[in-house]
Amino acid sequence: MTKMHLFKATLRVRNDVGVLARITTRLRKFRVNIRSLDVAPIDAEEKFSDIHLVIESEKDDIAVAMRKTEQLIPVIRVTYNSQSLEEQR
Amino acid sequence: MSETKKLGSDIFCQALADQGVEVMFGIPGGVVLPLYDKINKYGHHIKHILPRHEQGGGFAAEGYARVTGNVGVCLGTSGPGATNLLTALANSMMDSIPIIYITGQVGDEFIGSDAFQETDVIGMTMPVVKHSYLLTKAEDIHRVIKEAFHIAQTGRPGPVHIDIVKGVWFEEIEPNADAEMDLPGYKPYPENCSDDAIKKIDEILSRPGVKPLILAGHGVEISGAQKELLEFSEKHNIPVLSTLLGLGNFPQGHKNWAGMIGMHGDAVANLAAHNANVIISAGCRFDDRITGPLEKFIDGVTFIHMEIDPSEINKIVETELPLLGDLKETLARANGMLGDHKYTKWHTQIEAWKDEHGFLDYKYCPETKNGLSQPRIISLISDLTEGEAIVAGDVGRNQMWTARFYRFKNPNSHLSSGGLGSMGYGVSAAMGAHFADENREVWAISGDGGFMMNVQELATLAEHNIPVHVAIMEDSALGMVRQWQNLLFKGNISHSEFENPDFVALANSFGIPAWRAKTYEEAEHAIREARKVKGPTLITFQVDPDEHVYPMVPPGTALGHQALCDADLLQDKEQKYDEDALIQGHT
Repeated sequence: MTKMHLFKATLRVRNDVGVLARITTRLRKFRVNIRSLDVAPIDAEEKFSDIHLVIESEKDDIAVAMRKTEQLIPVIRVTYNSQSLEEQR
Repeated sequence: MSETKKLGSDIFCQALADQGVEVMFGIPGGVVLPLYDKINKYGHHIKHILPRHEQGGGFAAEGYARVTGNVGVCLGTSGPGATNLLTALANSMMDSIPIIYITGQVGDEFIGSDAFQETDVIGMTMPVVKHSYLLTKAEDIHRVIKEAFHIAQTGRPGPVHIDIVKGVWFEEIEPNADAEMDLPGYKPYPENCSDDAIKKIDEILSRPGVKPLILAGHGVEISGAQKELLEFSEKHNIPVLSTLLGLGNFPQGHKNWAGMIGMHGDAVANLAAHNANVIISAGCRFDDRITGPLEKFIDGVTFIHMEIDPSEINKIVETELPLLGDLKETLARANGMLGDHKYTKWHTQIEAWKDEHGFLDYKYCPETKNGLSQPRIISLISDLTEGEAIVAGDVGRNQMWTARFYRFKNPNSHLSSGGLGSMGYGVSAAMGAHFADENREVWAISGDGGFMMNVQELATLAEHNIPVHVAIMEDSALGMVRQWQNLLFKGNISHSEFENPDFVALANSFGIPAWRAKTYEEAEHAIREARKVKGPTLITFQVDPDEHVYPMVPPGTALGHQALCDADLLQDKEQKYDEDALIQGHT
């Protein structure tokens, strides 16, 4: 079985219809799978949300996938652990 | 309706006119009919051209955008009108072309009901757009149009798709032309690289034994950095290679010009890339067609990467010196900061390769036996037009030979489907290019396979008397496929040959004058006669299906191990090629 690397990422996004579809479409392109996902608005007007992800990838480096995701127009910023969770342990 | 209120359809047309749209390629259908009811009112701003297929319209918009650097606009109705645009959309995304793709959508109340001609086109286009909008309210028209044009043409350009529900056209509102953009997450321009980073170029170029190259990509054209690139190359005395989409941005007669790199690039360019140890990438994304197997391409090479798109840094090659920012500005800053260099031995080597392998001359290609030679025909077109025409290639052998044997003198003149490789591109893109500059001569050079994929656009050329000269390289085959089957699949020609209609009669049926050329004398005569016509023409050249494009860097093979003739591959006396890798390697 292929070893998968786990990472944590947080995406601040504009709360547009379909923003999650844009993000998952982009992650799918890089064969990044979502293990868990948590999303909630962060402001009173609910204009922005934070999406907390635990994601898994066959690759031990997800920098390109994260940078390409950050380029999506509704994505304000992306923060992620460049080391996989196993390495951090 | 109050005097100040306007219909959504009017507001939309006005918003396009406000953006300076000169030409729009579109096909009406059910849900966009209200727009078409108004569009002629804005005809003094926006010329509307009706292509015969949405894909042709999309490619035409790309041709216009590639030549002008402005945003192209294309429209289709909902359902099949929208899905027909997908290939053009993907092409724009791959080649970073600023296009607004507009599609109609069924009424709000029908969305999700599988209504007639309803398609989730936002979902379908998501992977191949820079951004997309579902426009559901007329009050959003001005903001969305402003944002869409801004996104399409700033930073790294790309396509933006706007899907508009039918009800928007009928809404009556006070136009809000002052609506402001709201794009908090969009950062088209990265923070420019520091002066210290630019000065490090000098340090890298001063290392002992350096053999540097500049790899000029499409970014040179997009940024308008031709003058700065020339100065940079001359100041440091560095040879320049170009990618397919970078052609025309460095003078091809210049002593530092070393040709087009890639699977079917110039032998000199591939040898230079294989032997260089410093590569300065100027607006290039390291497509697999130019690198070949990556581990062989990067071996022992230091990369300097000048790039506007931060997500391209370290995507394919690991870069010692990333230089973010607009290329024109980065090069201009470097030109003002760095010292001079000389690489005499390296230049001597490259000149020797030019002597050995020939350069920009069809006479180095083997004689053909079963028809005309495509390189010679393309050279003839190049000579007779003095390299001044806009030329749209299609995809396949004709594309590679057009790139290598048409001597482009001007930037924004070579149109090609680079990343996606969409057959059927050439004639449609040439059609759009005409509207970019109606005073320039435009040629479409296509194979017969690609030509037939958007043959319907002959009707558009004829109706509007668009002076595009269509050159068909007729060999009754999907030439590049056939070449690969010949060379890599032991001559098993599988479904790559076909019968053609009579192209001369076909063109004539559209009212387009046409010629058939079986000899070089007939070819020259036809080209000269076609150029006298103030309207579309077609010439079909009877070319040799067995003429193969060389060099050829077979799959899985390093650039420096390019095959230069059939015997190199079929006999492989030097045992350079692994048979399994040739077939299984990345195509």
